[in-house]
Amino acid sequence: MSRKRSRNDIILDMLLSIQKKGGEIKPTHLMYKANLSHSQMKLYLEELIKNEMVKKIKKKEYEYLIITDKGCNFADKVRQMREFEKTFGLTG
Amino acid sequence: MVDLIFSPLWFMGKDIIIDIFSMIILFLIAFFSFKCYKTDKCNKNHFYLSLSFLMIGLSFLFKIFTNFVVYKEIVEKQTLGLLTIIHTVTVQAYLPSYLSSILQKSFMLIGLYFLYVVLEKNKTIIDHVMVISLLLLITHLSHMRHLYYYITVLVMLSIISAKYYLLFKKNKQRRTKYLSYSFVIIATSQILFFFITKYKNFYVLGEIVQAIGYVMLLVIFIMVLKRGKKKR
Repeated sequence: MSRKRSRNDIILDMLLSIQKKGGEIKPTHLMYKANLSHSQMKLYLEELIKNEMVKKIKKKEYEYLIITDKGCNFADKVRQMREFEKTFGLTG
Repeated sequence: MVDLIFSPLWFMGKDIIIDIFSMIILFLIAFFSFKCYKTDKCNKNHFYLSLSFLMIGLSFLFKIFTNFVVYKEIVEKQTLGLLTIIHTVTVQAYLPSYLSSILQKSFMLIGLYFLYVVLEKNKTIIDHVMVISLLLLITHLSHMRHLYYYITVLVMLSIISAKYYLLFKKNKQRRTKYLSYSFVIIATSQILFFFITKYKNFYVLGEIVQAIGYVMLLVIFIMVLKRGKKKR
């Protein structure tokens, strides 16, 4: 059984989902891609926007979320952390 | 009086440079692990790993200090004959070197123990107190017989290498396998240090092998950082 995702895991999944979509994604797509409920999505998205890791933009009447440089850097940092944990046996 | 000089004359100073290099590698990993702990405070293993590498790094710092004090006296008294030099060194530099050497050994052993704790979970406070007391006792005993210290370090490093190899079998991470190899190399250097009281050239060989182990550790650390950045 896989372990419960931590806050950092969820944030990383959200940022990676945006990156995989070329840096911009619709909010509903992000919810499905990052495997989140609506309330979770709202909570984490607010935090990401507040910390300037993600921005909201309007494109042809649709709302899109784009990842900022700060968001990309944070994703790199968390990915390095995960690699470090796996290599040095620090998980769980 | 305890022998404080293991290096041949031509290698004095060079070993300090090698140790500074190893110490920087250890501090780098400790710093990164502490940064990870600050990001994700839920995972205490980051903190223990950081503490472990910091203590091993400090152990190198004390070793460098010990050697620096001893070598400085040698340079100052170089006009005298070799026997007089060694006698002068052991008398004048004895106290600071003794304290520094005790700190070096205790920091190394406790640092390695913390590394073991990261890999072997489910330890109680009593286990920690018992093992640390035992390690401090070994540190004290090993001051007269260096062999006790090197044997203890060898045993601890061998266990850590084996633990990392078992972890590799589970997680199939190539870097974990290399990590276990790097600890095997560092453990091998301890075997060479067994003979340094009789043959000073083994000290040179031991320092070189140990440095190779730490360089490998650095390479693995760089691989981890690069791999973390690659997956965009």
